[in-house]
Amino acid sequence: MAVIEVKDLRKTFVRPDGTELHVLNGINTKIVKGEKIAVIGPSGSGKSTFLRCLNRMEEPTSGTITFNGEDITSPSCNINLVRRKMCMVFQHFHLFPHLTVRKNLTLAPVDLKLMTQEEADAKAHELLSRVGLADKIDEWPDRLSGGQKQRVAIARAMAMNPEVLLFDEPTSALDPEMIGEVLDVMQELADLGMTMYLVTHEMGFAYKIANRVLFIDKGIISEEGTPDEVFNHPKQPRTVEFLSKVLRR
Amino acid sequence: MLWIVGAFLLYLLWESGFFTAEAWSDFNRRFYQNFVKDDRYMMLVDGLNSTLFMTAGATVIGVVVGLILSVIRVAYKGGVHIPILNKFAEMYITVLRGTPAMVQLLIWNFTIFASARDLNTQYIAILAFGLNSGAYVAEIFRGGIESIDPGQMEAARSLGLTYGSSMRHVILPQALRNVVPMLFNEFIALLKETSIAGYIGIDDLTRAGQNIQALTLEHSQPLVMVAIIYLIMVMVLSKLVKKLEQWLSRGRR
Amino acid sequence: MKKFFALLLVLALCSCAFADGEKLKDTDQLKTERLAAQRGTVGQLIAEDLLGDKKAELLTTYEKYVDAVAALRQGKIRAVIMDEMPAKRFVNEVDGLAIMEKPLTEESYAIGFKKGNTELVSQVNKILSEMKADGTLAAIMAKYIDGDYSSVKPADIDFNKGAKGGKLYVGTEAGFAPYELKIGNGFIGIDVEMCAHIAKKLGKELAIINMNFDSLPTAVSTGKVDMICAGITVTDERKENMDFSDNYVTGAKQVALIRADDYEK
Repeated sequence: MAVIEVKDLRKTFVRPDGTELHVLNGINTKIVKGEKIAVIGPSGSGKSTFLRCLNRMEEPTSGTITFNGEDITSPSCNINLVRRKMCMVFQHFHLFPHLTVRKNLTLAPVDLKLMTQEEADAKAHELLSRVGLADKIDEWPDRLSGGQKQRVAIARAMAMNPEVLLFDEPTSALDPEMIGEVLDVMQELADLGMTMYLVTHEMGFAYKIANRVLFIDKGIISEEGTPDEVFNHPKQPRTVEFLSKVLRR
Repeated sequence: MLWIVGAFLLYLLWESGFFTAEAWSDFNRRFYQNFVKDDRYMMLVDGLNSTLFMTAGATVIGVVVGLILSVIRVAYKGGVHIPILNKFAEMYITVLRGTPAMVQLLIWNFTIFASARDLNTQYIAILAFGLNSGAYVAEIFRGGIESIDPGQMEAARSLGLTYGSSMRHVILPQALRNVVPMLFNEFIALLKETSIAGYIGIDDLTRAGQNIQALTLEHSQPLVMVAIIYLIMVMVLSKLVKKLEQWLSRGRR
Repeated sequence: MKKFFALLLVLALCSCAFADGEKLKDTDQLKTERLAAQRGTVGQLIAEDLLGDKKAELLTTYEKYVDAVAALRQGKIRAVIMDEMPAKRFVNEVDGLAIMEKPLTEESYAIGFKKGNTELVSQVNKILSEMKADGTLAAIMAKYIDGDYSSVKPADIDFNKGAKGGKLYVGTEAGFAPYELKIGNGFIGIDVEMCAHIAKKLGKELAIINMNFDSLPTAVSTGKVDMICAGITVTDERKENMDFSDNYVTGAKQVALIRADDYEK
């Protein structure tokens, strides 16, 4: 059964001058448990907006999104409960700078009464070990490198025991030498069977990790398929053009 | 430049006989009259007590009111729409910042609390100054909250935290850290502003100086003494703010 | 730098300038001079009458007598219009002041009440007439006017603390010796002792509320205080806004306080 099912998702921003900007123009897709979907596309294509609609960081203008059969776009849905199960990793990490790494990981589970502080501490230690940062547990975020911050951010999302992880360009803000360490952590999560949506510009990584690739252009999924189909045998001219640009080096 | 001016002023003072023995003994006599005789300095001490008491009380009210107002205003923008509360907060800030503290003080004392005669007038002043300061503190807090990267709120909400929890655990602690210096400056301003409390019959530090003036009919010494006391307090507090700023920025790159 | 010295020079010249001109001889001269009064007092009304339509230009009102007298000594103004009693005190305590001999007016003092508070007015009037008849009032006056009141201590005045009848709130401006003066934490003065006596007769405790003179009418009309007693002169305009007791002082002279070196008797 599909974990997330998206039907005719549309998103329109109204600019301050009253004109409308149609960012998503009817997205239809689903993800099943354990699947890893890479979302690629030119900048401004709406791929980040699509991801942010999934946990309603952006309010969809129309269309439905169901999560485990529940319509999360309906007013009666408690989105806070959904977000616990569908955590997000941001391009700019957004660690809480006034809290130590430990507190960054334990704040939400403890505040939401999902764990006691002791349980959350143990969990934090386990997750930080997994991302290779166990020694940084009492460090302040400002003292970490970009790659370390993103690994902490991933651990923070994992601390909620989510069913789905949403990655919004997780390596775009990193110095090149730090990208590898973050991708390694994500690869490990993928190997453990985590269900993942990944918006990325790392085509090599998308090729390696994804079961399926969505190419979003002008607010719709213009091409979709296995990495082999999309990267090696693209059918749409826009896809060909995009790939030729990003894969040129 | 400063030396020349200083030397010139000294010369003027010398010419006017400031350094003569008579002038010095006159100064001493007046000092005795104003502050020593009958323990008159105690009037200043009592006044200082009153000034500090009002400032402290108004500070507490100001912070609480300011915090509540700023959260209402920010929450309204952040998607928690309670129009009545927001309208109220907006009006509150507009009115209290748009009218002189002095006028507010008089209205509180002579109109709103006209019949509350057994109430210590100092409490009315604390309320007036506190609510007034709250409007300014609200804007300080709002600035502090809005200076926090919106990503912080998104990150907190994306973990399933409610808006309130995110505010309390993530946004406000960071905002507070940013605004502490400005808050302290507001309270230094408040300390000086309480000098208008004399208008509703409170013998604060300024009024104590005026009371000594009325006793001794001497104009300058009591006022200068009052000014010196204010200045010392403000300088000490400013020093504290500096120290606090250093302490707050510790451990940050 | 040059500008700065030029500025100093101008200031120095200005400070000499006021010494020129003819000296004051008669109160009529005051009609074209810079005058000052305490805000809200009858002195202000008299000064306004004297100056006529030049009052906006020539009259300065101050919150406190001390401020007005300081301005006088600095030459910013030429005369302060005020009650004779406090004026005498200034002449005694401060160098270089004089009172113009011819008084401007003679006034009567009374206690002010909220308009329509006839019950309290008649009670107080009854007590006042008793005080006048049995010499209590005269004794209080004598203590302050003829004697040296520096020996009077606030603690000596019986405020009837803890009286069963509650408190009698009296508004005043305690910078008007010998009528009211704040000493330390307490008050002395003719008005204070008189009100203490009135409070006692009413079976109440006296509570003195010290405020600026121009706040007193507001305080009594809003009910902040029961009555105001601060050497208040009865005028027709004031009668429209509040009720007054019988006079307890008559013939209180309003005088012009000036610099001694500016006076040619």
